[in-house]
Amino acid sequence: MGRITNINIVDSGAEYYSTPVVTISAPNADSETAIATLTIVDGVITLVSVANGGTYYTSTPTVTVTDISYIPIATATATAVLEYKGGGVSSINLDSAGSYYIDVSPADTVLIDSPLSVLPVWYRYVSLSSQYGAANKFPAILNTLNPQQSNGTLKFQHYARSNTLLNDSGNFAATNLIGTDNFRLQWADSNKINFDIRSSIDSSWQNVFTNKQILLTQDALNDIEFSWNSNDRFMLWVNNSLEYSRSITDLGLVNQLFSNDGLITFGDSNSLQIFDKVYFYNDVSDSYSFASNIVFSELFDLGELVTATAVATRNTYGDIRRIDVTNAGSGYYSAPNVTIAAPTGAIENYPIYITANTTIGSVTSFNIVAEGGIIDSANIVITAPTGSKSDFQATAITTIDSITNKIASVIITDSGNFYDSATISIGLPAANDFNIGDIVYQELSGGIRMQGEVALWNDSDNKLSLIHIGADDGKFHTFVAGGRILSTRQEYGRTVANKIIISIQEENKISESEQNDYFNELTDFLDFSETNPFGDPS
Amino acid sequence: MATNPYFSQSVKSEQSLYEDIVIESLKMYGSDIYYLPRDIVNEDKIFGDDVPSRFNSAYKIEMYIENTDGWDGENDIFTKFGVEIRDAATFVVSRRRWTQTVARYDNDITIARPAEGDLLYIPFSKKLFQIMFVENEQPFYQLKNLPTYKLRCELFEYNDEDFDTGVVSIDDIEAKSAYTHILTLNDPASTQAVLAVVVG
Repeated sequence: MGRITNINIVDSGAEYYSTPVVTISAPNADSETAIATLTIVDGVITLVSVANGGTYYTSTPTVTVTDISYIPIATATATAVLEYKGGGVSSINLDSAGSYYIDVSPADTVLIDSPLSVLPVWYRYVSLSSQYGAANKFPAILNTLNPQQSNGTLKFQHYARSNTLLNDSGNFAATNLIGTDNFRLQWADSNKINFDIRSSIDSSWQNVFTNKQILLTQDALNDIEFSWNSNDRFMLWVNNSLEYSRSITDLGLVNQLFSNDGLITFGDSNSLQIFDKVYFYNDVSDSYSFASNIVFSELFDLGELVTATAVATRNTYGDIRRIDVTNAGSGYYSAPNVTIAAPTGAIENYPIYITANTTIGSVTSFNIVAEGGIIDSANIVITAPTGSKSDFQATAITTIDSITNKIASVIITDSGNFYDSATISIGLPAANDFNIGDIVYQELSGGIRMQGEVALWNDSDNKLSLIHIGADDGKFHTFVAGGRILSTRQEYGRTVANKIIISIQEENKISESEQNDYFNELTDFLDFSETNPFGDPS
Repeated sequence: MATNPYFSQSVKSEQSLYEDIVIESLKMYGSDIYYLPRDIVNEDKIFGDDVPSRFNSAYKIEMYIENTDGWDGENDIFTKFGVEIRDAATFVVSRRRWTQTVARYDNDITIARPAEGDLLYIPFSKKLFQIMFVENEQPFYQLKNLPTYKLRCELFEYNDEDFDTGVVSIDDIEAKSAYTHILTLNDPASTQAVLAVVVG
């Protein structure tokens, strides 16, 4: 198997006036598929070697790696912007790119923990008790909070057990307030108590009340014993003045039963409302009854707990390159954990990218474009060649000696490949012809050039008719028999015609017919040719 | 007494209309004639001749042949010295059309009007006529303008001029009529070369 290195001239031929066609036979090897070997160091392909370059590769073959077995998983950590009501995830740092993330959806790859997973314990469970000891005194606050059941909203409930909300001494006292490092109850004025929580960002106290409600249930009605009419009312007093009054009928009381639990919204959004009287008013008897089972609900909001989402971006080779937060979420009091799912595609679809380099039909080397991840073993598969031996046929051209008109040399323009042996043929000398209109010339002694225009060329009898004859010195000369006549028309840098003059004949046709061919055709009538200038009838 | 200044025959629009009608008439009643400008190569100032004249181009243009019954001139003369043909003809061509066709800006023509010595080729009779005189004032200023040339021509006698017009029927004239050298050449016996290949 090899290339053509030299072409020797055995016989130079003769009368080559233009470059002949050189034909070299095609190589004779059978096609072979290239074979490669792998070097794996620490689970990574570090070298691909050519074991057999193959033959007839007219295009770069495709290299694939199969039988890989270990898949590294990407890892990442999140960063959150924290606020007293809980912040959102601002960014996610990719710690390890992993490999083989080819078949998975990038949106499903990144999993972020919910805000519940990072809520402080004191937010989830707050238990307060009355500071006033005796029954029927406000406030009797008792509650257990479970944000998981109320979507992050902390709910305080207190029960009014008597018609008075004054303390034992009849005064409100700031010293009776309760509090911890993270929340507090504080008198706002004579009839309100603020409930605050401390911001985890700057330790400032933040009031978080959003709503207050009174829930009238059937249990509340069981505490009163009188008949109802449409003028009966539910009434609330603050500091001995009527704060709220509403018809029982409007609250849904029918035939001494609530068709639905009555829900009354009252007060502002900042504080616990302190009521000193809570009554059912009977219009008929003009009397007031107290119901002990009225539930006062105080609501405050920690903000909505929304789980953040993010999307991963991978490159062509299945490495995760970047993670972008698509929804920051809310209610995060610290950065949540981020996990990246393992690749889920078929293991044979996680390619290690290797490209091949070919030179004159054979694979000569490989490039490892993507190392992929950790592998235990792998096989290299190279596609078969697509060419044939004729694609690697050598070519050559000749040079002609302008004096001897023989082949002077043969130049190999393409040495081809896969040759065991070859044959070469060379064309006959090209046609040695003149065209009408060509300017031909003969070099006379003294460097004088005789030239004329070809009016007719007959290659069957080798007769060349020339008109407008003249010499370049302006004097009278004629062509000389035995000399060579050449054409000024050239192809590939060489004259297309080059012949030896054997004989010369002159023919004067000027004024022969005076452009009137009609009389030439009447030779049987009158003959005015040179042999019969007087036109005597024949 | 000077002419009445309120009546003028040199109205440009009327002159143009008149010239348009003349051109239209020539296109309807004229014949396609090839105009061959003469390329002077080596003028003989004494004899007023230029034997090696070349005719390198031919422009087809419509012309009206004034002769209706045949060629003018002395026609065909049979003498003891042979036949001599003295055909003549007068051709009418539009000045504007001649300028647009023959003397157009991209032609290698330096003359501004038809020149004596230029040739006309008549395709239907296959004859070349040489312009002997150009009459440029007929019709005589009818609208104060001159729309046509009248070319008075005689049959051209070929004298080894070079025709390379690209029109085959014209170029054939020199091949048939020029002074010819007929060379008989050898037929060399060519020999095919033989090569040997070395595979490395």
